[in-house]
Amino acid sequence: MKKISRRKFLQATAATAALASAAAQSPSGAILERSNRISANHWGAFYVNVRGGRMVGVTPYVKDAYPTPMLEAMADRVYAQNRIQYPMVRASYLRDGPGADPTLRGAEPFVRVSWREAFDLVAKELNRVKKEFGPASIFAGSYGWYDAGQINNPPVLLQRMLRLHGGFVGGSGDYSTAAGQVIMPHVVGTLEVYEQQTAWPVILDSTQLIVLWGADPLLNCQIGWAPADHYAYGAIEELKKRRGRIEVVSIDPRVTDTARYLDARWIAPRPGTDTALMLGIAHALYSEKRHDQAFLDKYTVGFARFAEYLTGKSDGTPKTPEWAANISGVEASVIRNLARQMAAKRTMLMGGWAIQRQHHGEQAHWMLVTLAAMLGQIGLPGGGFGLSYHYDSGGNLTANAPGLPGITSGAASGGAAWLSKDANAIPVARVADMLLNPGQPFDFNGKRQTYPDIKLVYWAGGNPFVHHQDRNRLIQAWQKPQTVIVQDPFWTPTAKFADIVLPASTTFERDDIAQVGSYSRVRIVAMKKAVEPLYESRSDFEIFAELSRRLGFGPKFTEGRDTLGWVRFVYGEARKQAAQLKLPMPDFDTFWNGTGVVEFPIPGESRSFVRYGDFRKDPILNALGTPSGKIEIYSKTIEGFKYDDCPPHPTWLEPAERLGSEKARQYPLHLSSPHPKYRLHSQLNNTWIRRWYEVHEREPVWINPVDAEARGIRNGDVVRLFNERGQTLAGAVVTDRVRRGVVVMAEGAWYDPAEPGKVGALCKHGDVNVLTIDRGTSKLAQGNIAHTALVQLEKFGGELPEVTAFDPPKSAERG
Amino acid sequence: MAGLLVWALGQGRTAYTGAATSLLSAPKGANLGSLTPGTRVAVLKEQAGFSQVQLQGWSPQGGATALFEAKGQRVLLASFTGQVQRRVRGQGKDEGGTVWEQVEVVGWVAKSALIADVNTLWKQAGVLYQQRCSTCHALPETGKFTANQWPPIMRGMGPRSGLTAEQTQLLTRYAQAHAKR
Repeated sequence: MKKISRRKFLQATAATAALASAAAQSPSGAILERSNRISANHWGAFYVNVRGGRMVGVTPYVKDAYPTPMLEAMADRVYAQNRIQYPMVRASYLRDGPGADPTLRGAEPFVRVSWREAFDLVAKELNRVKKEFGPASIFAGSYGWYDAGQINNPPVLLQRMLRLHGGFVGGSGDYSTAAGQVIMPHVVGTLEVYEQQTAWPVILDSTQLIVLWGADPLLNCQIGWAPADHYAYGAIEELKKRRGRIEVVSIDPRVTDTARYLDARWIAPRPGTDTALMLGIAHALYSEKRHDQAFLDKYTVGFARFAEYLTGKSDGTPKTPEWAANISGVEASVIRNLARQMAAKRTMLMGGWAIQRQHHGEQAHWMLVTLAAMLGQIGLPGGGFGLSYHYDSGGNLTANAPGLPGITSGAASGGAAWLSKDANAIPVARVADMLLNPGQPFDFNGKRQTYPDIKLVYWAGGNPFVHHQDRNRLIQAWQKPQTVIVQDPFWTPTAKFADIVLPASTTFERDDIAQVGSYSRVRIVAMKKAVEPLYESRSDFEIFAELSRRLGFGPKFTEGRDTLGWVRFVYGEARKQAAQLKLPMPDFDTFWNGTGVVEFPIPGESRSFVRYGDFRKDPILNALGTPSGKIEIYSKTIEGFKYDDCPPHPTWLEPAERLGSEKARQYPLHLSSPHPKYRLHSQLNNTWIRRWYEVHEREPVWINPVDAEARGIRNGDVVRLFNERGQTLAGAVVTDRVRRGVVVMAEGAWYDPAEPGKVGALCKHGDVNVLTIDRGTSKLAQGNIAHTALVQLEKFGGELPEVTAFDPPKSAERG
Repeated sequence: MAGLLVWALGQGRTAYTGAATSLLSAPKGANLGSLTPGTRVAVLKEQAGFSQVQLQGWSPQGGATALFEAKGQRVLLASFTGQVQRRVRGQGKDEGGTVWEQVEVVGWVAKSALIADVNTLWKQAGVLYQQRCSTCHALPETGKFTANQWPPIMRGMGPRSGLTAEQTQLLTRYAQAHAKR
């Protein structure tokens, strides 16, 4: 390794500003040279307005009637002050090589290197680690949202490369629905959380009571994994017009945007007590004989066993409304009335995912389905339950459309299968646990596996130093591997904790293609390059293609196609299907050089789609994917796992932390960390629109006026939140839109330690995950439990530290 | 999964459908339904490019139009739209209490639709699975879900990854053949 004979530390902002201006000195185009090519990303489809070679903004796609205000951030994102401009390497890593003092990660300056040097460094290190420790020592789970596009999908490309290289350890599941997507296949035989819902027109015609249980469609349907189609906004506008006929109840510790817009009745339980509250409702239904025994007999198994628990026959505790009131803080009379109302009306339980992102989160979704089964309306128009109304406009109308494939992690030529006694995929949220506990066993959905011993972490298009729980534990875990490689357009907190940093271009600097609407699939949209890649950034495809070339399997990686070749290929595959479906689709050149959009028709039957309608009509031929073919209120499969933290029927289990517990004496506020309104998780926090919500440049925290007054806090004060796991500053928003005893702080604000790299440092900016718990929901799903956390909060008295979350790290020169 | 067929197939040679295959009443006869890819049959006789085949499986009571691999195991072998030659050989209950009939069905298929080794089909399907099922998420192991869970999961996911109905059916059978036990 080369020595840095003279290290010169420069103040980051000054250094990069100088470099940035140097890089931007090429002549710009005349401002009358303009274009507005079509593109799309998680926020929807739009035209990208370019003037004189510079992106100045986007205009929503003509058929997007409800574009998100977040589109205003897109141009600023491209020119963000914290773009990674060049490949860079942590100073001591460049000097000392792999394993260079890992405690300096996140604290040290970076040295600019050439692409050639960076590629050599990465290829050499991948080969070394594979040779010395085997492929199971390379972690490429690389969870994250990157951006849209079927070709430039960094985690997929990373795994494609490493599959050809000989293998890697990946990740299973996600942070959004980890518990739901594991428990639901046991209960209803499918993922449920990512599936089409009963269509909104059916809801508007037939439903009489909508219960939003921890769900906020108006906030969350702004974005989607595939570009969002924003159908839900029109539907909810229609719902508001029908409020005389359709009652809406929101069960949530805060008044959500959806609840506020619809003037919904607000029921605010203590966070983390949803399962107890549902049990109380179930008990009221059962004891008043309002449950639908005929439905339970015909379409479910195991209700009798569950009823023994409900009545207390099996454990001595009847789950009465009074019992539930004591746990949830919702009055017994309210619980009883809700039960009666649900039974009397055509009721749709719209469950969110927050209720399963909690300790024992599996139980909340299982119990919600059980409650819906007791009401007997599953498969009837407008009745039953839905777990995806708040995601990408679930309940929208599915088009008659071909599917658009993409580049995948499995190259056509395949890759060597790698054999290892260790897990080759871990539940994604167990990443810190894995790094800290190599060789230790862990349970997951009936299997017992062993954590691999990871020597190299490669993360592309994700930001675990914001999305992962318990920041300080992650910092400790992050000190274990010998090498950390991060590939991203921005100096995210994660990039700052890397050894080697590779600058990726943004969506607007490369060609790609997408299909709008995860559920509607209503149009295919060209994502055309609008501006040239900034600085020395390259597209993710180009980076991995070049690394693959150096690793000796370039042609297998690319299959002989460049980026546009891949775009053309996947479009062609979609077009073949369209021909089978007798749908017109222009040839690729006409599409690409023309409007760049293909619209697909909505068949009439999509308007009347009823989830589980076919199961209800014929439960024999349309049996569910469970062992019994029916809804499993009692699961013999789960019984067989013998998990103490996930019994075989929905059960109230005390969470690690909650209001009303002993621990709440020390930390008396429950911290809820929902999805942010003006970000996609951590994305867009580095754009100007953070001014829309920040308080003194800090992430806002909602606090009830009573709790605020007790602490002498006024609206606009900077406060410090803390518990035994960490501490962060935030800006107080005093509001009665949050229940007493609860504070709400959105996830996704960038981690900004006052003492970089140091465990326990104060976050100056408001990363809520310095306070959350890093623990699995249960042995079944091992999902994150971000919503289970108690904190204390005080007015911040010290001198307000400058926010540096969006500054690039310090740079050093190589002498 | 072929190992789940514990009773002996009829006298004929064992073969498998290499793709979705129409079941006919006679050579060039009326269409009685469809066999899914990878379905094991016994070839009873051959005539002018057609094979008379016997297949065995289980149908839930009240669901005679669907033939599954075993009781409670919803690996769909065939679905019938017409009057098939069907013989009930036994009965049993699954863990959900549904009563199933063990059934033998005889009909005709195009000889060219049959393959000798089902693994050649699974190999092709495995490549397609690798290619298509990691566009949005990491490639899941087929052992992540059970044979019963795979059909609804494929129904939900297949269209998003650009799979045709035939490809979805093939990958469903593939995933079921390599599913969690």
